Amino acid sequence: MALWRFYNRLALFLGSRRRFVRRVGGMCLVFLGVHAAAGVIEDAVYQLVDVADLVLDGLSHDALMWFASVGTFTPEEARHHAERFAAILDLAEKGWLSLRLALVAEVVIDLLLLDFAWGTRAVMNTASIRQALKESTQEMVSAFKHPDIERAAVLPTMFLLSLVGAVVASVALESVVADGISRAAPKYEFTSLVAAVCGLLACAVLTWRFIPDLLHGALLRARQRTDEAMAALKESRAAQEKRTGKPPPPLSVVRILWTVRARGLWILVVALPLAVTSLLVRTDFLALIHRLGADG
Amino acid sequence: MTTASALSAPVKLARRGMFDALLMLVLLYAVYARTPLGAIAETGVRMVMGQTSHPSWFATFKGRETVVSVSAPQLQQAASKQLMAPAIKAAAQKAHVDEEILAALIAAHGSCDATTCTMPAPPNLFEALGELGLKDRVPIDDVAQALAILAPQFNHDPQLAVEALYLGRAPLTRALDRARDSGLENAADVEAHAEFLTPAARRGRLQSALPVLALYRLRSLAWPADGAFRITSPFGERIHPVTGEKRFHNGTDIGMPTGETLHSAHNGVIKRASRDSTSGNYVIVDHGLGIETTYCHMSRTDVTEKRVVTRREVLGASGATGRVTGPHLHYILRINTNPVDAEQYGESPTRTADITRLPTVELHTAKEGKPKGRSTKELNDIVKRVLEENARKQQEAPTTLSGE
Repeated sequence: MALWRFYNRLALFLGSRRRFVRRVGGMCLVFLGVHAAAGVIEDAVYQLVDVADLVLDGLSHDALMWFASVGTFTPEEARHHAERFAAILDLAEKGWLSLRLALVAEVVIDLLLLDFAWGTRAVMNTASIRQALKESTQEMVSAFKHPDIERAAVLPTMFLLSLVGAVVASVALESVVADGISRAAPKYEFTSLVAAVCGLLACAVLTWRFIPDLLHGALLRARQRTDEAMAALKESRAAQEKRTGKPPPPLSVVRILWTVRARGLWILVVALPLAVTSLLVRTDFLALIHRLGADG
Repeated sequence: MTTASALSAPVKLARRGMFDALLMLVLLYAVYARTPLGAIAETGVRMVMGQTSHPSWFATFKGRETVVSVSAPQLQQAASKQLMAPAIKAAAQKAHVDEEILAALIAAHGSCDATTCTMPAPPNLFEALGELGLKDRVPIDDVAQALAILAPQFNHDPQLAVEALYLGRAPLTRALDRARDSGLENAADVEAHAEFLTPAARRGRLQSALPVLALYRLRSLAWPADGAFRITSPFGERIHPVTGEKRFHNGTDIGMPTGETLHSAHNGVIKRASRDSTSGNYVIVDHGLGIETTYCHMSRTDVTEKRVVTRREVLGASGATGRVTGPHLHYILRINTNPVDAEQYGESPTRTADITRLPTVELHTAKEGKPKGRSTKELNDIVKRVLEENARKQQEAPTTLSGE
């Protein structure tokens, strides 16, 4: 009885904190989605390092040879220095550096997306699911008015990343279920099928429980950030007016576009392509569906 | 149904909260176990607790899940000459299994005396043999027999048979199926299918199999060029031909004319195929388990990044691109990013010739365009002399081997 009471209290406590729980869950899905593209990040960073190294080595070689031609060094010394410079970043160092830069890039992307993943929540009437959905839709529609790049890109980015996160988690769960069944009942014929169903169910449940809230919060947060940026712009203009004593000239379209509407360009250029790639490299989800036809 | 409908709205919401909390915990665990954020967080916690060791932040990056740490004595075993302990040879012949895989098993986990080799029983040995065994330590013959039984079930791949010994047939088969379903070309390689094993299996039993697989791969590395081409500058300290400075040479230079075919040392994935100002056109092949080979100064590369290559598959042709003084292949073997002497592993001409080291011959220090150093005839004479000496020594005192 005491246990039952404890369970009820815990359930009630968690129920009252379910928005927090969903935020953490959604955030985890995004982190998993970003990491699914870690290999792509590493490759891209390596290519950049490779090109930069090639260009720098070439430039240093040419510069040193020019110094040699004007008599600063002997050609032998110039070659020697060029060789030493080129050896600073050899193949092993490039691999070492790109891996570390990839880790930094991944963590930075995680941190930059954290604000959206945590999102903003309005207090909603949760008396009925229909009412909640209606209010949520209205909020999202109004948040999407006069869209900027950030709000346009944040929804598909967060959706794709969290979906990949759900896929990664479901495939991991499938392994655990399959292993558990094969240990408990080694002769059971439908282990693969049951595990695949569990994996797909897990993916569906994770998508259902966390992704709508995540997208809702992310869009509202993006709207809030736009409003904050606009307010900051107005504030700076007011401060300018106070300082100079005369009204500042009207804002140019370019400045408005650059200061407010072009915010979140990095999401469009970096995070969204990364999210698409991270989904494309997860072929194991299709395989999970394929395994539904497996017979053991 | 009646009970559910009788529940008040707050209680129903609370139950949903409980469910969400459980899902959140699973996701938190996934982030902890499968992303570098988990390793970073764990490092932070350990630092707070005053511990100095911390988990690798890069372990969850692709291809690094199965990096294995091979100890120096194990490497020495892998590098040792291909003189096989008689017990291993006999067991391999009797069971018709690859003697190299048995040697790798012993190098990783076992030991030999003059007459027999033994090792701790792998977890699924007796299951494979269909026996109810209770022994902790078993002779290599039993392991060879188990491998002979398992290998046909895994396409006669000795590495998969070893994995099955440690993981069990069912989990391995399932992981392989899932890797193949996912369209992985190299599904049979442990680094490809490891992520389809359960976290417990990956972090547990697989860890015992990994050193064996790594040592086997090291022992069976193919030489990237025709063995007839001379080693012009070996691994180790040397005077750099361009700068004239004493510097560590992280690879082996094989003197060969431009356009000669270069092969992959083992199965693997092309990690990089690019161009560098020093190394010229280069290819890096990731053979898994922390083993990587690099081929530099190539005149052309016939492979693209991410492509799966098989042992001895053509990678391109030798050349003189980058900073060189003549055409040659600069061949680097790395184990867990550390360069090691490639001549000491696999089918290098030095190792197969059963001599400790071919004499250093500087080929590409020649500025006049004519190679310096010893001629092929001179080298052949040296090899012949050393081989004769080795044969004489063996006749005089039969080698007692330990570990192999």
